[in-house]
Amino acid sequence: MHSALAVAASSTPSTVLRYAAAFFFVVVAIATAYALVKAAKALERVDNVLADVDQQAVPLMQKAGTTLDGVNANLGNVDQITKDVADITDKIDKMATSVEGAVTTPARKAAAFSAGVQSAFSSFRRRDRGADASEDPWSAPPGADDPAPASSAPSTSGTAAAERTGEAAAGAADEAATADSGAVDDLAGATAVAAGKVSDAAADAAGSET
Amino acid sequence: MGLASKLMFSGVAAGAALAYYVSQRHGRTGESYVGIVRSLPADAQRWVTDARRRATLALEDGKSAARERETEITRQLAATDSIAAPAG
Repeated sequence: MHSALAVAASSTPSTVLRYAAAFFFVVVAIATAYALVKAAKALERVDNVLADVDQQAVPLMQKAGTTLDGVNANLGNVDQITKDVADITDKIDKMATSVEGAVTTPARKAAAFSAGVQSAFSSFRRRDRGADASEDPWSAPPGADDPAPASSAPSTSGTAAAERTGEAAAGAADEAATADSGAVDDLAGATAVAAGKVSDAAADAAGSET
Repeated sequence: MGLASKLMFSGVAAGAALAYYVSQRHGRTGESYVGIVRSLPADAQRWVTDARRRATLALEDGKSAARERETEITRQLAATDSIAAPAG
């Protein structure tokens, strides 16, 4: 009895281990079988998907190729349109340059001519007024060309004085004319100088006559 | 209208203008009518000389103003082109 128990006791661990290993392998076999079944189902679905893709990809590729051909054709048209627009732009640029050259130069000349005429006319009128302010151009200086009045006989000294007066007036008028054309003050100053020279010449003439 | 009529009409017009001028000048300066008429050729010659001189000076002024204006317009066009060039 004791010996049987001892044998049983000594053999129990190995038996338990054997049963445990057998159970473990059974469980592993079941799990493996389940995983293989799932993998088979997944592969079947992948096969179906690949079959569908194989059926539908070719028409899609054909459509994509057709679409790309159309896009390339349209891009060619756009390229041609761009070239045409560039050509038109160049032509417009050349035309604008030609028009500008044809219009600007005469316009510039016309503006310069009008400014010159305006300045010349205003200068002529201004000198006319300056001459009117200093002396009347239509009125002779006293004793210049007018024969001597009855009270005084013509004398050479009077004629010389008149000539000096005329020269002084002409010189003063020249000064007034060569003065700054735009400055009224300068013109007035030159007129005053002219008046002073005229009065000096008249005083000289009066002194020479006496 | 014949030549005599033209001459008569021209003489009447010239006489009227002369009379107007003489009367105006007499009223302005008080000179005698005869003196005004006698000094008329010399005055006319003087006026022509003065007008010629003023015309010469005015022509020079006009030329100078025209050159200045053309230079100014050229400068303005160049400035406009230089402004428009970076934008274009």
